[in-house]
Amino acid sequence: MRDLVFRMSILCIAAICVSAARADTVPVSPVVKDMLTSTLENYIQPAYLNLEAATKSFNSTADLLCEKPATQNLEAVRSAFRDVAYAWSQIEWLRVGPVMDQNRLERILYYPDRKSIGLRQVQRALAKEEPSVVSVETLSKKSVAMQGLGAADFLLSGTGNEVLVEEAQSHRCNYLAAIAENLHVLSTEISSQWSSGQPLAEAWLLPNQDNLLFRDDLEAKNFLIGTLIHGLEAIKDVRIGAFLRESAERDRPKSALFWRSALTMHTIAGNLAGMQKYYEDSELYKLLPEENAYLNDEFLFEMKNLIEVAGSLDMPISNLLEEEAARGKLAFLQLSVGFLVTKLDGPFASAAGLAAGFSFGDGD
Amino acid sequence: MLELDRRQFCLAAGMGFLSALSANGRERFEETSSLLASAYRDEYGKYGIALFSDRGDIVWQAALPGRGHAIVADKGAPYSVVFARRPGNFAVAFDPAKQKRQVLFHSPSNRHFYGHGTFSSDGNLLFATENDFENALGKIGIYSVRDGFARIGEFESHGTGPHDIKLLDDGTTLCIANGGIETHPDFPRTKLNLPTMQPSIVYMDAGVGSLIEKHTLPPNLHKVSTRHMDVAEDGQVWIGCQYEGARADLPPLIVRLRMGEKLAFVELPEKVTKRLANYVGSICASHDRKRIMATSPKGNSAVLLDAVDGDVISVTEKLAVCGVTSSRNGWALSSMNGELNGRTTSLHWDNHLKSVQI
Repeated sequence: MRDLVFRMSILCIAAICVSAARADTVPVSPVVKDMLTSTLENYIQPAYLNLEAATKSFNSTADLLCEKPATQNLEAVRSAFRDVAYAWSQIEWLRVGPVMDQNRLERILYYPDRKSIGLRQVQRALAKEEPSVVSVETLSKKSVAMQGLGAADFLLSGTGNEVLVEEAQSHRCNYLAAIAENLHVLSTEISSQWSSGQPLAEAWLLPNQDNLLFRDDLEAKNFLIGTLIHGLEAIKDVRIGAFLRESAERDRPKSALFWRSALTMHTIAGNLAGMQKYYEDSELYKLLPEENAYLNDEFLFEMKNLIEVAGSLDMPISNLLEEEAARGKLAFLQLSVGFLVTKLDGPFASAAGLAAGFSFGDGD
Repeated sequence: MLELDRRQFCLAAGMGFLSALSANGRERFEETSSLLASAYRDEYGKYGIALFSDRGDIVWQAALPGRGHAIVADKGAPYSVVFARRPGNFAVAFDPAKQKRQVLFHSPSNRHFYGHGTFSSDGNLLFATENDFENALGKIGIYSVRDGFARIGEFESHGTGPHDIKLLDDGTTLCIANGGIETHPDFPRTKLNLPTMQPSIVYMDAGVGSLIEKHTLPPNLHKVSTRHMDVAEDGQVWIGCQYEGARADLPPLIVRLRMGEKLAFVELPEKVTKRLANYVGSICASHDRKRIMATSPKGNSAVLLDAVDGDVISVTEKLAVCGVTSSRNGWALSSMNGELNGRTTSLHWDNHLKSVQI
């Protein structure tokens, strides 16, 4: 019996191999190849290079601040941090490749942090002047919540940040500089793995049965639209939903990402702009039949409006929530992103012949 | 073990069931030798639960307040129950015979369901996996069937993110797959603790909730989330997993466990592991419980294994396949794109399919 089962197993495996070999010989469709190439070359690679450059500048300005504490130098660091946060906001919803390895995603930004784990850990490290947080080698082995943008936001704009302009080589400043260096190391690692000619970039462009990214065109197309849908959903639920509640009394301004540095709306606008760029560069509209081309126009029109609305709200989140009209715009923004998700998830995916409308893919 | 025979079904359903069916539905019911149950979404985006033949002919359906997930239909229990998908908080106990007796019940406001449950051996209690989301603790809610599914207590699940739950053949031991993932309804589908997640499989006493055994995964596999389970003839629990790490990793996805022993990862040929695409959506023992089927909607594959040694018997390619169940008629497979045993239906079937033998 065991022999029989074994022989059946061998036959079945052989069948898979035959089928895989057959699939290997089927070239990826030109449309999908173009879509993947454009996504890689126009969106992924430039976005990570942009992040790499922004973190480099953050690192150098932080080093200078530690050496020469001064208001002007602090402002330079804050400006560089703003650029890093924005650069990250444009690529953060792409959940594939090295960013998903070694907890890089959470090491760059650990959010939401419901229990304020990161804040408590950072405050403890400051209070005890822990030496392990001022060197990138040791910082990179500590809690993910201590390593990235959330911790940097507190160091730059949270309680006690005055020391940054008062004391040279302060523990707080050196911790900030170590975070900046850590972010640069992480973004360089990610960027280099996505470089043309690297195995990851090669795999991205060539779906086949042995490719662990995409085994066929359909998987690639589903991934591309899934990234857009899940990204927009996260902007609605996790970024806006974190602070905007059902009623003004229940709003939680201090749950907003980057509320201390007043970058909440700047990065939400960055998220939306990033999603729009992703949509255009991934050329998802190419999957729409001609009679459904209006869905592309609708998407672009609505995204443009949403980016404008988000851009017009670039001020501290507590101020926005206190003003009825501004709060109304936030509610409109959240609702409209939701409508976009519904449209993509339903009519768009359906017209494109994709299965995104009823996804199993988020863990159930 | 989990099926109603035709006589029991008709008794449980009563003549009201037959009279509630449309003429067409009655004909289909008479023609068919088994019924299947699954949650679905229709073409208009509405959610529901349906009973249908293995050819996909619907004999009964009802709307649900939201997206449903798994169905419990254990032998001896007077109702079948469909649970809301995470992070929903409703469940519907349905007895198609007497539709007005359908019972809609909810988890408490500080809990939500994870989508799975099981009845006690006498059918009087329903155990449901739940999330105490403010404290990030897994719970097993206990509901009294006789009291209209009133919640009468809870046990610790001894882990985070309990997903599937099974009652073992001894009738007194619960086995729980704690997926290890922390979630909170404020961030509906966001996984909050991936860097530190710690899945586990737990055996507990169904009477008092005391921990009997807890099995965690090794540190290098801590992102292998243990999600769905079924029990084979020899008592081994087979667990289908979903990987939360990088897309290009190739971790083991099927685990088996016998009480008193260590977790054993099933070593599949690499080609087969690839076909599971790091995501086992459902796992099910065959009618005789000598074989195990694991499905992957992401990998568009159903993998059949020998339930004793884990040898691969066959691999079937099927687009978006996820629901799987087995009856004396054989295997049934459903997919989110509406396919059911090779036939196309107008409904998008949710992850799980349940067989109700008649």
